[in-house]
Amino acid sequence: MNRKILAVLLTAIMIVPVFVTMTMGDGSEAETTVVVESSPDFAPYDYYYGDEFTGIDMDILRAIGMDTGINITFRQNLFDSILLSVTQHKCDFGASGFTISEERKQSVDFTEPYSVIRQVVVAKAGLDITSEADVKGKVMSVQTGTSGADYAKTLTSPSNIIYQKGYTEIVLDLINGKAFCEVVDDAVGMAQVSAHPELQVYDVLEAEPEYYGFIFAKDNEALYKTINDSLIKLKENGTVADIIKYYADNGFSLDTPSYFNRVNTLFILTCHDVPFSYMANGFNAGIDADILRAISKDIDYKIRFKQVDFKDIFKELETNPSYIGAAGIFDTPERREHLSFSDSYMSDKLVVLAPKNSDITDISVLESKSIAVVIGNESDTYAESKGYAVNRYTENSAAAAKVSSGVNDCAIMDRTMAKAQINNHPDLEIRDILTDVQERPYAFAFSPDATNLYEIVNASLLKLKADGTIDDILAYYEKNGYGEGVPSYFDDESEKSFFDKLWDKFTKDFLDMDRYQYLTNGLANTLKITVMALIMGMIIGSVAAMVVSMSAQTGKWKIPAAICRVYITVIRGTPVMVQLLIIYYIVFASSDMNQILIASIAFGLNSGAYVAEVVRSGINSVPKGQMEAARSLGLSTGASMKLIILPQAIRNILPALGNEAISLIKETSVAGYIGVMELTRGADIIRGQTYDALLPLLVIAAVYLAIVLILQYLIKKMEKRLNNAY
Amino acid sequence: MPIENNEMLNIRALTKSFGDNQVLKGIDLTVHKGEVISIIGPSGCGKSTFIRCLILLERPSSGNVFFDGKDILSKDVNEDEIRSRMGMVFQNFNLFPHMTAKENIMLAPVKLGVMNKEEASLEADRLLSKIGLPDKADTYPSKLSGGQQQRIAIARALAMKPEVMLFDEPTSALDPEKVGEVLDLIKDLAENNMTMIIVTHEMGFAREVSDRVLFFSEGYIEEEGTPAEIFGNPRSSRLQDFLSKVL
Ligand SMILES: Nc1ncnc2c1ncn2[C@@H]1O[C@H](COP(=O)(O)OP(=O)(O)OP(=O)(O)O)[C@@H](O)[C@H]1O
Ligand SMILES: [Mg+2]
Repeated sequence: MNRKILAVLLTAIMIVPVFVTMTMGDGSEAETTVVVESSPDFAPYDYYYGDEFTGIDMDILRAIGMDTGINITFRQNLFDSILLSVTQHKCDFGASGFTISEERKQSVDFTEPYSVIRQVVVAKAGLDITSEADVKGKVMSVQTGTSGADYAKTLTSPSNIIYQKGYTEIVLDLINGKAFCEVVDDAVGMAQVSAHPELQVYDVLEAEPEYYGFIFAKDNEALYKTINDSLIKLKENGTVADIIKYYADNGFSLDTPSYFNRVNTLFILTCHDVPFSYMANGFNAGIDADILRAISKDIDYKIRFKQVDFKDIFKELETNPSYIGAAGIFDTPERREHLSFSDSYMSDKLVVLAPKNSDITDISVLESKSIAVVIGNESDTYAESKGYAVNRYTENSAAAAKVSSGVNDCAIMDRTMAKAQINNHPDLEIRDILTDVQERPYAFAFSPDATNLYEIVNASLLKLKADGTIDDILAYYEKNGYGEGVPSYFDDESEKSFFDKLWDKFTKDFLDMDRYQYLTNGLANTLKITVMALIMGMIIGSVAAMVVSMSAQTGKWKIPAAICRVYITVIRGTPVMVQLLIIYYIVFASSDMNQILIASIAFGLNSGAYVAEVVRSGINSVPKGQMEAARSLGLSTGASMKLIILPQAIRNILPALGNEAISLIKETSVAGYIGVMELTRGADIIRGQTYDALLPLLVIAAVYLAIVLILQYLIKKMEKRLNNAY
Repeated sequence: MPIENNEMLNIRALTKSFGDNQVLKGIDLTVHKGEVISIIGPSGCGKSTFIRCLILLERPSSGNVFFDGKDILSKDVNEDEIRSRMGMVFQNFNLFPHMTAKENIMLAPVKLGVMNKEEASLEADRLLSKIGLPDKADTYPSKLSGGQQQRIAIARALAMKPEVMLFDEPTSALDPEKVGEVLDLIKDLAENNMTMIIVTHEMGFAREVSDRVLFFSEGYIEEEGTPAEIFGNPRSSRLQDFLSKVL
């Protein structure tokens, strides 16, 4: 009778998954809500902003949702897994920057294209890459399965291509010099560069443009038509273009929130112009940049800089009223005909810089003096027009030095520059004697239509002038001599110690936008899966081991024992990831069952086979006389196993079972392949957001290690207790 | 009173083979209630196999075993139920090492529903006193001497109130000075009319305690008789030979 119970139990464990599939299958609420899968490590198309799915794909779909009234929900999965998920109906459709290709059209239907893509090269900044020929034959790092990977094959030999799972690894390859360059979609490349100023996009490839579309299973016609029609409509009315422009305006940067969740942002048009606007330490520095940054902080806006040519600043302002021009721009009456200007934050005027004891006290004496100027500068033009005798130098500092050493009698330069020179040359002083030059005000340029923006920014500017902030910024640049290398007033990077920088990284990876939640949620899921799988594995494993052992002892139960042996052999003979994919996409193909539960079942089945072998060896380690003694008392085989053999076997195999638990917890890290947000996937998502490849990995490594150590401690304690018991 | 009613075991033409090796070659034996039977014989002659067949730890190859009138080899018999009515004591004690002495004794009666916990506990205490180990109730087997372990193994078997007790060389694994305490216990059982089959090498003991002695040789019962006949007047040359070696 007990044998029957055991046999029933065994069968139950084998068929439970099937049964659950049947009862939990086709949910009924699926009519109003559709599930879209996306891989959120593909900025700017798909990424997490905080815990919100963000990016061009996501926002176009949000717009489609609003248009059609369909409730679209997003779910993350690995890029490689989404195609399978769509064809197996694990989700309703996929949106993760899928390039429309003939090959993919064999298995899925594509919507109309919503975005045009060009392949570009990303490599270290400042390299001499001007044409496709410059990257031919080099070592390239690409993401598996992307068009970039395909195009790389035409550029270099297969052995020179490193295939990576995600972009974080690729960026690391580039920074560490493992690869010379990456071939990638243009916007994605720009997103990477936004997070890594040491990299640069080189737009040199001659690849054909490509198009992105959403993917649907072939037989999902009704939904396909609804979504596709809506997409066409949104393309025609400009919504799609607006969304893409929004991300482009934000430089495809990773810290761009959803189009539908826009935050106030100052968009700045600027160009290289020391000391007003330039890059230092990968940071926008200069007087203009810092004043605008101070304003953005004051009014709680984000700030974005867009580099263009100086002449294009005015052109763009005419068509783009949301921008502000800032690059040491003079406020002149001619310009005021087309633009409006903020209050001046600083003004300048040509002055004379002369030794303190100099006799140059009036403009009239300059005719007889030898004057230092800077080539091509305002001062050069002025001296030229007056016919003065000049020596031309390349920098203001050189001009001042010549005056100080007596080579020249005086120098002509802007007052701000002159002030800076006095820092190094206390023997010099400013003589404001040039009566025929104008005071020139610097200001920020606005489109005349941008009245609202103008008022907000100008009010803040006035406030910062009044409270001394702007004076502080100006004094900072003056003190540092207005050089190109002067870092931003707000850039405290250069003074930071290694630990400060590490802390900054830590803050960005884990504290900003509560990113640590990816790890805590991931850890919770990892633990859930591990515990459920462990319990299941122990039950299945013990039952299978008992069936096999008892069949060997009694010669009965040949069929169940054969089933168990096949199960053990198959599971131990195949990789756990393959089992997971088969169970999720094939066995549970038509089930809406929770992925965590499916993962637990998969890992439980996997673990069961290993536990079975361990338990079997444990059973064999118990002397035969124990079973005989138990049976001689009238106990059934099953009861003898349970009461006499297993308790002793478990003591013998506890270390081995502990090892199984330890390897199981680490194996669950592949659950990401079916879209489960476990610990490793959580770290991947953080890495996809911050493009910080290493720190999240180190942190989860520490977390895994900590769990394993705790587990080891518990097992040791249990062993001790069992060993002391008898 | 008809003789059959007095029969505890009736064994007919019992054989047992392991593969090609026929270990028991046709054993016939009737055991009456209260009878004490000793089995002696050279090593490897099938003594253990024989009593293991009686309690179905081995499945006989052919023949019949009637236990209390019922053929225990027929298909519809509940083997576990049969075993629960017999007690077996092993050479190596086979106490359950993860249970205390008392738990060893209580296990079967409680798990098989013969007694509830309280009854089993009282019975275990009674048996522990009877075997002279009332203070070892909570001791684990590893902390007990061989003789103590074997006495507890006997108590464990007795707890199920068996109708027959089978002993397979119960003292062979013991230090010589511990043999006595176990044999005394078995003698005590014999005096209380317990039906017993005892495989033993202790000839003095067999002579003293047995109603009948069987001499096994090469899978047969070579000779059987009262202790006086077997030890005082061995007829077969094999038995004479055997006795000359062991005595
Ligand atoms: N499970 C088994 N499989 C195969 N052969 C066995 C098995 N058990 C016993 N035998 C063989 O059966 C024969 C009789 O063994 P058994 O243990 O019954 O002898 P014994 O009379 O009890 O000897 P001893 O006095 O040494 O205990 C031996 O030859 C032994 O090898
Ligand atoms: Mg023997």
